[in-house]
Amino acid sequence: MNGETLFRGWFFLVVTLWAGSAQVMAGTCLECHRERDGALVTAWEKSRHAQAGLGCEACHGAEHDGAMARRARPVEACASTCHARERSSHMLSKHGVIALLEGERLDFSLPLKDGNQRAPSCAYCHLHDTEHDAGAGILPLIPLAAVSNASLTVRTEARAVPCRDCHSPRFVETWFSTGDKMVEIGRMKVREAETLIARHEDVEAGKILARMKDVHLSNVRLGVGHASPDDQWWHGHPALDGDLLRIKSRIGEILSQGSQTMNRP
Amino acid sequence: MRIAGTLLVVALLWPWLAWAGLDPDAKGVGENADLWRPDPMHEYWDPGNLHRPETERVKGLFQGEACLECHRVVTPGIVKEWRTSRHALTKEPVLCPACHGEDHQKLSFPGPQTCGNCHPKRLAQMEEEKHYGFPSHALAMERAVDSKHFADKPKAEVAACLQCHSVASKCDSCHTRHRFDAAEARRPEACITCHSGPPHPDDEAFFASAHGQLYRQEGKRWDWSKPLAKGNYPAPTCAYCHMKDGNHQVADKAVWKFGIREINPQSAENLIKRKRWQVTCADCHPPEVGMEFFKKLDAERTQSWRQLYAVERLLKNLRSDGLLSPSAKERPPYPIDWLAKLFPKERIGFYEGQASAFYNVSAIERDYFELWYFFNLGAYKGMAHGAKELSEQFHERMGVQVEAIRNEAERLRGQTGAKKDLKPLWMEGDYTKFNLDYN
Repeated sequence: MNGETLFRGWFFLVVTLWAGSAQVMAGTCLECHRERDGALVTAWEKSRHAQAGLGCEACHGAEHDGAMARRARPVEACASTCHARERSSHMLSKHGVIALLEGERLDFSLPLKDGNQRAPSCAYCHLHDTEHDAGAGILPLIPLAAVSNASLTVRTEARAVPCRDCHSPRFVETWFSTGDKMVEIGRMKVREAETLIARHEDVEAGKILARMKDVHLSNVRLGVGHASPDDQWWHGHPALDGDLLRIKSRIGEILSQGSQTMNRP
Repeated sequence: MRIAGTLLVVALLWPWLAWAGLDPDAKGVGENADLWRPDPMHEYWDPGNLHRPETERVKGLFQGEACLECHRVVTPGIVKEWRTSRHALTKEPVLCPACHGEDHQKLSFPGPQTCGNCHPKRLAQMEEEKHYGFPSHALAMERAVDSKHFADKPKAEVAACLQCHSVASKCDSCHTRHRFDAAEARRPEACITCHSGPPHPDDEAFFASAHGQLYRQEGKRWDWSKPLAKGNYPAPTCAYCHMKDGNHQVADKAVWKFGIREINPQSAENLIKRKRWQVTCADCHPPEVGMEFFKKLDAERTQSWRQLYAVERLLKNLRSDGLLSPSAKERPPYPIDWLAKLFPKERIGFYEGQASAFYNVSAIERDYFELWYFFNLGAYKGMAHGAKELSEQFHERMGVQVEAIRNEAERLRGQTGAKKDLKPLWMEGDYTKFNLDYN
């Protein structure tokens, strides 16, 4: 072996190691994976993640070390960086509690299907069975009024698929149908407030309405989606009740006192 | 004529019934059974009363192996779980029909009675809990469905209540199916799905305490297969204290209970309960430590109640002076109370039933509800679990809220001018109308 060959060998080895440990950006991943996992890449391209500019490394990390799939499967992959609020909702559900207590016993080398993990992590449902369009499977929100829409019917069916790995079809159907109603009832409370505020403008009431929509209604949805009773109830419906009655109280005073200045804090 | 009337009502209600997925024949349960019909989801939380077996899909009698043959494909997750359970790993495995029956047209969900067939000691302990009254795991479902707001509110909305209150109807709230692991149920996280949130931040309180901190740091490494007995755990967890030695009777040490009404900690019954606590604490602490702890808790509670009663009086005075707006006559009636329909009255405090009056009330009443039901209970739970700082934080919030209520009362007293009838405002609206019409 002459010096040149040895040098070439070393050079090749160093370059390979460097490339392996380098930050693999989405563009680079796609060069190979579009061919190897075409469907997966196409699904990702449609996803909200892609629209938000999140590439493969956001969930899989940048180390091409043979554990990339495994890395994106536990709760932490989604929750430690972006989805903290969703995590707190999931963590209080039975699914979240079991996932936490099972800890290292959960085998994330297995695909996210067939109840391979005893309790679902985020990805088990939202990216079930290699689905990479996060939002196509389990839909975070289905407006009840739009359920007749054909594409939404497809999605209504799609969101039930991961649940059926463990739960009976009838249970899943009932869960979602009651859940949709629970959210719709929340929307009724919001609409009641909106109608009142449209008639009697009031800055403070407007702020409460914003809280209804952005926080408390959203809590009901998270609670339904994650089977987390606290978010459905204490952080959800009774909280919406409180908002609504406070809006009504303010408007009641406007009605009673005509144009008098309101000074309730 | 009456039949025609009923038919007309049913015909008119039909679109709503169909929307709600309600079976017009299904009846509620409990004290107000005639006044409400369950949402389809309720059957899963109270299967003993409301389960209707699946009759459409599969017919026939099945023994264990035949069940597993299909279900490892249909619902693989639960079969995998069961295979790792003691039920599966024991010499004579407990197969599906033992709990669900073998006729696929008449399958049932196992309730405590089913589990009690093999675990009679645990069932007896749970049954015994009923003697201690509320709050109680064993009576939790009654507590929920007999509540006035439960009967009043849309049934899909209050389905949210039943997931936790189902602890009375099924054992898998703590021993999650299909592994039913005692070790899992011993961990504090097994309790937090329900023991969390504003009226009972038990999770927050425990994890903030020295006990909880120690668990957080090293709990993962403790041997959870050991019984909850002296010397087995370096720090107590929920179940260690409240279910000592695995006792499924959780109420026999409950002194201050839920915390929504004042009790006398020195009553004969409560002194006996205190003795039981002393024994538990003495597993690790000298006896006087436990005594000192309870003295502080009682002092904290007495002080809180003094504060709460003062605000209650303030609200009752506003009520006598006709300053609560809307008045009881202007708001939707207090849920399902015929007397309240004849003599409408604003509900203030525990004994008037304010626990069900957290909606359709004036802002100042709701402010008191939150003071009493959220901040006060946070202060209590913090103190009771040894999280003094958390308790102090809640006391601060109580102080701020009391101040706000006093200012608001002052403002209401200063208001002049004729009052308008607020009935149209409070009786109308998407949600209000829906609830008035259908519940």
